[in-house]
Amino acid sequence: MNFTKIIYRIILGWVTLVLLGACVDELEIETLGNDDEAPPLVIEAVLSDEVINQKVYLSRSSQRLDLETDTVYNPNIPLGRGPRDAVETESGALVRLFGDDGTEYAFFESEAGLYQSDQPFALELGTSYTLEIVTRNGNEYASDPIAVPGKSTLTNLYAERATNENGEEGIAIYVDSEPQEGDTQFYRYAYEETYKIVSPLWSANEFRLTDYDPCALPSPTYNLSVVPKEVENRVCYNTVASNSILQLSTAGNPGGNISKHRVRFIGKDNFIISERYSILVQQQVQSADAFSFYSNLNNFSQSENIFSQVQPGAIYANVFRKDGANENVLGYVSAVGVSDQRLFFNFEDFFPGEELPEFPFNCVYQSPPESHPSYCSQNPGPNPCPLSIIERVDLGTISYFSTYDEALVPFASCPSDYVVVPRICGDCTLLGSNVEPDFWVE
Amino acid sequence: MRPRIKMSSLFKKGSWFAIFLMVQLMFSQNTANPNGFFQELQQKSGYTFFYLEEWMDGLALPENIPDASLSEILDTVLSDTSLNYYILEEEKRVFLLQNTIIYDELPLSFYQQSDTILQSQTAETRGNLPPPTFFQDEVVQRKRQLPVARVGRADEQDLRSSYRLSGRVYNAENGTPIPDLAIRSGGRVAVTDERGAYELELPAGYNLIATSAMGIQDSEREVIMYNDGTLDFVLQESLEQLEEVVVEADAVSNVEDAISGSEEISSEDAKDIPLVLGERNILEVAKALPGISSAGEGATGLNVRGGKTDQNLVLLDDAVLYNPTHFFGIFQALNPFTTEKVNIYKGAAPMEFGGRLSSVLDIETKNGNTEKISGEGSIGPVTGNLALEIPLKKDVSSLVIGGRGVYADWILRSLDEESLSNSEASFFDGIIKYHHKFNENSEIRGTAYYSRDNFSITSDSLYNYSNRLGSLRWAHKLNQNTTGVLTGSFSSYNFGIDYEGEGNGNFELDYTINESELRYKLNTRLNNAHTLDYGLSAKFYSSLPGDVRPTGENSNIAPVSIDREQALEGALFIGDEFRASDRLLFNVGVRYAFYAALGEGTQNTYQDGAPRNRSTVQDTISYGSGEFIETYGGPEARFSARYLITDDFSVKTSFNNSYQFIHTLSNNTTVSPIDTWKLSDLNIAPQRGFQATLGFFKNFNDNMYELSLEGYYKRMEDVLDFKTGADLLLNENVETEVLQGQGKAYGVEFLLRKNRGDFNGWLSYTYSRSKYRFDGSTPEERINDGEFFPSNFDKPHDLSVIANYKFTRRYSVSMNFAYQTGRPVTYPVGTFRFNNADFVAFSDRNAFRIPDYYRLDLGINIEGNHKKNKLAHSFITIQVYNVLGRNNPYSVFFVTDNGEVKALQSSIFAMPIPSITYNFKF
Repeated sequence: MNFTKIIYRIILGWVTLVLLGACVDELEIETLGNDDEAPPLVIEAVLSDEVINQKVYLSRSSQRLDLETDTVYNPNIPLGRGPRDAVETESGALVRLFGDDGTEYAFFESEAGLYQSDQPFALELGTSYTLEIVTRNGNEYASDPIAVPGKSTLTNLYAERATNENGEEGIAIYVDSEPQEGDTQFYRYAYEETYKIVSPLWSANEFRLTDYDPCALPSPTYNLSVVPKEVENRVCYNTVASNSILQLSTAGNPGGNISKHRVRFIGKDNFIISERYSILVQQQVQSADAFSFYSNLNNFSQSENIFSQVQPGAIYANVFRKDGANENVLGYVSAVGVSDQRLFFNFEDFFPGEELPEFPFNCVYQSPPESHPSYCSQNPGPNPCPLSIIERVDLGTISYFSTYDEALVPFASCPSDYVVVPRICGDCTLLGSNVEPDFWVE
Repeated sequence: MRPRIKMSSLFKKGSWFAIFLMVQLMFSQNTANPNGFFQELQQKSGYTFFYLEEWMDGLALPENIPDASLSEILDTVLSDTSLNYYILEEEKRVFLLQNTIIYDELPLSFYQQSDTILQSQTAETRGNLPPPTFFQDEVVQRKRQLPVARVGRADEQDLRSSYRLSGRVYNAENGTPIPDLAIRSGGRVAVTDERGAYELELPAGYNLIATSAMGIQDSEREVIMYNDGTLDFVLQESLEQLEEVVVEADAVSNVEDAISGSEEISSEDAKDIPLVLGERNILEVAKALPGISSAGEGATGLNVRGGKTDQNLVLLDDAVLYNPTHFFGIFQALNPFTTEKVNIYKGAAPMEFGGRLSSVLDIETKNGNTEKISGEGSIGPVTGNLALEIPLKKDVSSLVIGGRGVYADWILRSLDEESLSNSEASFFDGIIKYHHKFNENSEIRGTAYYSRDNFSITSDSLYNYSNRLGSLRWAHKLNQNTTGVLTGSFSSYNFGIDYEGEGNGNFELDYTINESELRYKLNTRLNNAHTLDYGLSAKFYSSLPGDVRPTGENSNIAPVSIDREQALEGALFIGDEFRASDRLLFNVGVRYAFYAALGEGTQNTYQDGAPRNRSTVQDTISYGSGEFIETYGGPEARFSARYLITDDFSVKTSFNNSYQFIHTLSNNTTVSPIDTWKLSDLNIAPQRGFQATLGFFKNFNDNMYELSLEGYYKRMEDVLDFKTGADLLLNENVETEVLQGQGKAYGVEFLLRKNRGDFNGWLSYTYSRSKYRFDGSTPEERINDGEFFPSNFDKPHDLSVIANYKFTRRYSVSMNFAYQTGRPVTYPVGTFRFNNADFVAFSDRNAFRIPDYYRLDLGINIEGNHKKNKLAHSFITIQVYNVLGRNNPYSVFFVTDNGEVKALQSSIFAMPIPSITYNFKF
C-alpha cells in the first residue's frame, strides 16, 4: 500500500466517522405500563374483485413494543420452544359485508382471528360496500363505505440483473401495467415468494432413539439406531408473504401506464435464490384514502434520513363504533381491483457460472459423545464433553450425517461413532414444507 | 546600604537586650506641648531623647500623666500614635521611631556563615519579620508626586504577613466619593463602593498601589504597611479621548438601549469557540445565548423564544437568506472571514424589519480594506475558506470577495470504497461586496451571494438546494438632521431532487421562491428628545411550489406543475426614540403591514365547519393575473421603554405584535432542506404574534461584567402544523393538510458575561416553555385532543457556558459547554400486526422526552509569532468537539424492519471529534 493511499484511508476513516458515522443505536424498549382498558381492535381486510373466499383478520394491539424475538434461529434451542411473539387474535366476532346493491355476505371464523366468507365472491366495480363487525364483547363497528376504484392489468412481470441504490448487486423484479377501467391512480403491490431449499448436508439416514431414560443408573439406558429416513426432508419449499408496503401513484397522469416499476430486489448473496425461485405479484388498484393510509403507515415506520424524521402521529382505521362512541380502531379495510402474475427463475439464469449464495446457517460437522453421565448420578463429576447425541436427538437439534470420519471432525474432544450436523443443515422442513406447491414448475 | 551600616554600629554600642527602666518618674504638672513634655521628661529621667519635631504634630498628651517608670510613661503617651520608642540603657538614650521598631536582633543573613542552630531557632521564634525599617525615600520621591504612605504602627506582639488597608476615594474637584474605582496591587484588586470606600489586604512592607477608573486620572501610590490602617485617596478627573468614550458607550449599551432582547455576535469573537470540525459558526454560537435554541445537533433552523423555525427573518446585507446553513444545519452558509457580525433581535425588532414573528438575524458583511490588499483564509478538515479585501480606490472604494468549499466529497470519491460510493455531500458559497464612499454624506454598497448544497444518501437520488441573493444600499445625508437609506434586494431559494433509478421512474423535481424588496428608511433627529425613524417597504413574492419533469426516454412519471403563487407585502412605519428624561427612554413605533395574495390562480372554498378535503370543496374560484385573491394586514406596535435606576443598572420593558405572511410546510420533526415555503392565501391566514418582556440589566466593574435577567411571554395565533402524515410536496390543495392553531411561550433568560480580560466568556441559562394547540372541528384537525402540547423544541432548561482563557499573547484555550433538557418526541402506545408485519401505534404528540443533552467542547488556539515582516499571520486552532463523548440522542424513532418493530435512537456526533484548522491572514 503506498503512502498516499494510507493517508487517504486515515482521512477517509475520519471523515466517515464524522460525516456518515452519525450513528443510530438500537434502544432497549420496555413494555408499556399495564392499562386496564382492552387494547384497540385491529382490523385488516383487503377485499378484491377476484372470486375468492374473501378474508378479514381481527386482532388486538399489544402493549409490548419489542417484538423482535421470533426470527433468529438458535441451533441449540429446539424448534417451537424459543421465544415467540403472539398476536392476540379477536375470536368470536360476527363479520358481515353489505353492498349498496342489497347484497350481503357472511363470514365465518376459519381459524383464530381469521374470518373467511362463507362462499367465494368478488366485489363489483361501481358498488359500495360496508363491513360490519360485532365483537365478542358486543361492540358494533362499521367501516366507511368502500368501493373498488378501478382495474388495471399487470401485463408483464420480469426479473433483471441489477444494482440497487445501496450499490448491492442482485436481481430486480419489475412490473408493467395497463389501466383497464375506473380510477387507477393509486397502486399497491403485494407478493408471495416461494423458493426451493435443498438441505446442504443431507443424509438418507437418520437416528432413531427409543427407550431413552436419562436418569437410569449407573448410566442412561437407550436404543440408538441409524435407519433410513421415512420423511423426505432434502428438498423443501418455503412460501413467504410480503411484509413491506409497496405503493405507486400515477396521480397527475391518470390512465398512465406503468412500466418497469420495481417491486422486489433480492441481493445476489440471498440464499432464497440459490435454487429455484418463484414470485407471485399481486397488483391492487386502491382508493386515494387507502393509498394515504398505507403511505403514512410506511413513513412512520422507517427512517429515511437520520437528520430529518417524519413527524409521526396517530393513524386510525376507516372503521368506527356504530353507536358513535369514541373508540380508536387500528388497521384498514380496503376494496381493490387486483391483477396478478407469477414468475420463476434460477440463480443460473442471471449469474451463470457464479458461486451460489451461501447457506445462511453455520453447518459444522460435530462428533459428540453418544451418551452422557446419568442425570440421577450421585456424584456427577465434571463432564468435559459436549452435549451427547442422545440428548440432542431427544431435543431434536441435530441430524445424522455419517459414521465417524476423522477427516470431517479432526479435533473432536469426545468423539463417538457418528458425525452429526445441526438439524437445519440436514432437515429442510425447519425452513419450509416438503410438499411441492401445486403451482410449482421445474 | 548606608542606613544599614549605621544601624549595625548602633547595635555594637548598645545593649543586646531590651531593658525596662525601673526608675520612678514624677510629673507635677501637665505639659500642653509635646516638645516641652519630652524636654521635661529628658530632664527628669536623665535620658536623652532623639526624635524629629515634626513627629510631634498632633500628638495628644493625656490629661494626667501618672507617676510611673519611663517605659510605662512612654507606653501611655505613644499608645495612640504611630511612634515607637527604643531605650539604650547604658548610654541613657531614648530613640523615638516613626512606624518602625528597632531590630534588637541581627537579621538572619547578617552573618554570612551563620550558625545553623541559631538560624533554626530564629526561624522558630520569628515567624513574621517586621517590615524594613529603612526605606530609600529619596530615590522614589524623584519619580512620584505623592509621598510614600506609611500605614499603621508596627506592633511586635502582632506581626503578620499581611495587613488590611482601607479607606475612601474622593474626587479632587468636588469632593464626592468615586465609586467603581479599581485599586490594584500585585494580583490583589479592590473596587470602591458607592461611598468610595475600599478595603484591601496587602502584604507587609512596601507595596505599589495603582488606581484606575473611567474618567479618573490613573494614579500610583507607594505604601509601606506596618499594620492595619487607612489611606484615603483624592483623585483628579481626567479627560478621555473621544474614541474611548465611544467604546465606553457601546459597553453599556446593554443597559442604556431601550430595545431589549437583542444580541450581537461578531464573527471575529466567535473564532475561538470550539465547534464541530473547527468550523466557525455564528449561528451555533447564537444558540449559546439565552432564548435561542434548536431541536438538536444537526437540526437546521433556530427556535427563538419558543417560536417555530420559520419565524426568523435571516438577512444578509438586507436580503433575506432562506437557508443560512449547509449540510443539514451543521455548518453555516456564511464565510466567517467576510462576515462582520450578526445582530439578533428576539423581542421588539427595529421598525424597518417585519414579516416574521420570532426574531430578526441581521447579518452584516465587512467593508473592504481601502488601504491595501488583505486576505484571510483557513484550511480545515472539511472546508476551505478564503476572503480577500481589495481596495479599488484608496479611501473610497473596495471589494470583498469570499469563497468557501468543502472537499469531503473529493475524498469520498478518491477512494474505491463501495459503501461510500453512493454517498456524497458537497457545498460551497461565495460572496462579493462592493463598497463605495462618494463623500462624507453618501455611500453605496452592493452584495451578491450564492450558496449551493448537493447531497445524496442513496445512489439514485441527488438532492440540491441553493440560495441566491443580491442587495444594493445607498445611504445618504439629506440635511444636517436627516439621513436616508434606500435598499433594494433580491433573494431566491430553490431545491431540487434528481432521481435516477434502475426502473422507469426517473424524474426531476424543482421548487423555487423568489422575493424582491425595495425599502426607503429615513432617520430624522428633531431635537435632543426626539429622533424619528420612518419609511416604507414593498416586497414582491413569486413562488413555484413544485414542478416535476420525467427524465430519460422511458420515464413513466407524468409532468406535474403546481401553479405559480404571487404576493405583495408592504409596510409603512414610523417610530420615535423619545428621551423623556436622562433616565427614561422610550422607543415607540407603529408599523402597518399589508399583504395581498395575487392572481393568477385558482382557490377552493370549503364548506364551513367541515374538514377541508376533496369532498368538502364548495367552489373553485379563478383569479386573473394581478387580481387580489385575498388581503391581510394590520398595525404592528413596537414599544419599548428603559428606565435607568443607576448609570449602570436599568429596567426595560417592551411589547410588540407582528404578522407573518409566509410559512414553511414541513412534516418533519425538524427542518429538512426540502421543506417548502407557502404564501398566505384565501385558505391559509397569516400567523400573528404578541410578545411582552420585562428585564433588568446591570453592568459591573467598569462594564467588565454584564448581568441581565429578562422574562418574556408570547402568544401566537394561526401558526401552522399539519395533519398526521400530510403530503405537502406537490400538493395542489395544501390547505387540506394544514392545521392552524395557537402557540404560547414563556421563559426567563439569565446572562452573565465577562467582556474583557484574559479570562472572558459568558454563562447563560434559560428556563422556557413552548406549547402549541391545534383544536379543529374534526378529530383529524386536532392534535392531542385539542390540548396544548409541548413543541418539538420545548427544552425547559438550557444552560451554556462559553469561556476563553488567554495564557499568553499566543496561546489561549476555550471551552463551550451546553446542557439542555431532552426534547419531546412522539412515543407509541403499542404495536399491532398488519400486512404481515408489526407496526407501532402512536397516540399523543410529544408525550415523551429523549434523554438530556449535554456536551463539552474544548479548543486550543495558537497564534503565529508576531514578527513584523512575515508573509502571513497564522492562527491554528485545535479543537475537540464533544470531549466527553456523550452519545446525545437526537431522536428516538420506531421502524418496522423485516416485519418487526425496533426502537432506534439516532445521534449525530456520538464521539469526541478532533479537528485542526489552519487560519492565515495577510
